[in-house]
Amino acid sequence: MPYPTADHSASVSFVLGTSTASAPTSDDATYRKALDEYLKASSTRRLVIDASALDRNTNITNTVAPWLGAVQRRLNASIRIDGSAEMPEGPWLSKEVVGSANVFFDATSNLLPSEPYLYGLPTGELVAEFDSNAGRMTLIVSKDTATALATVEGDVVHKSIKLVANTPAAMRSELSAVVSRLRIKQDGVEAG
Amino acid sequence: MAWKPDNKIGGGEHIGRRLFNESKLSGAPDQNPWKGLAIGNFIEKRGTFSVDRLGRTGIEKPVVEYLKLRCLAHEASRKDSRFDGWAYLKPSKIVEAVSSPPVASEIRTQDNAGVDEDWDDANPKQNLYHAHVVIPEGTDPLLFAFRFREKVGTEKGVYPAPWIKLQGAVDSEQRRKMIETAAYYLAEKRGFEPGHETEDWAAAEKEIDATLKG
Repeated sequence: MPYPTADHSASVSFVLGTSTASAPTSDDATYRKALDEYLKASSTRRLVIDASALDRNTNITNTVAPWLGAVQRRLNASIRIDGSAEMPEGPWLSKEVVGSANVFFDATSNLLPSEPYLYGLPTGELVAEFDSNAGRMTLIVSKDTATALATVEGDVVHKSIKLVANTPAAMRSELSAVVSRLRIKQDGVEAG
Repeated sequence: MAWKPDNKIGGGEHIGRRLFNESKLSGAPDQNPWKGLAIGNFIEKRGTFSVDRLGRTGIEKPVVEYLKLRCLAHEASRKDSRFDGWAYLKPSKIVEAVSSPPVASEIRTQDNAGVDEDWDDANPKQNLYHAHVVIPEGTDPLLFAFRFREKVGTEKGVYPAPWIKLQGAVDSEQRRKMIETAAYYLAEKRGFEPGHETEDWAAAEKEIDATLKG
């Protein structure tokens, strides 16, 4: 007998182990029942919700990571104020770089592996370091580009994402090329 | 007696990239500590990646002693930075990481104005142990830096600076040369744009004196 798999009117895709649930259902009640049965039947498997698939199928992009507010507060507190003699020594960021970073994190925070550790480069770019059980990702943000770098199973994955004249959906899609390979822990759900 | 390197780098040599503690952001003092190596330590946008030759088959203390003044002068040219030591790899591991071998650098015998200089071991700009890695054409400097840093992480090759207080151990001529070197690095940062010589010298003097006081 096949698993009672479900796909809610082509809106959500659940990936379990190596198989993808795909059978269509007619309404919410049927969907929930099918899903409950599926989870019961595969209790030893782990569930992965693919956030980029959620985007593609539902256009839901308004969820944000819980750390977003703290990160944006740190970024905004790190803007160099030109002409101020009161600024202490230290790595500061330009308002352009902070603006670009805020746009990028607004669009992508819930795709990212963890709360980032932030620091500045002597040349003015922002660096965000992400740690996950599966590896580390480094993001370098300039005023017009975010470059994501990660090592996945010995291969270095490298992606430059334009931040000017780019839509949030496009940024998410491009970032997914890196994070989907990291097999990250996300939203408390561990990848298989 | 420090090892005198020749112009061919041996397979067992330990090749080090200088590390500075630059993983900070002014508006983020509340972050949990992070123990990685700041990627800024590995970014070079000039096409060559500077390194030090630290020893034939291991890190040799006389070589480190020789490099000390040079590293501290370098530190003084970078605001809010502390020289922390070296990330080191053997030549074969560098090739694995970035597809380019380390090459011994020619000994610098001219100053920045092109005037011939006599060799002087006390001159921090002249470094017998300097080598470089050519960044392959078309390689994104960020990708090069990331690959180098990842390889260091895999090999666990970090040698911390043997921190020695220098107060009273540097004579006035050495101090002057350290300032000159630090001022040179400051000028280099702005592409040797003229008109800032006095300002660079004053900034370098301040930083060197702070360093020497520990």
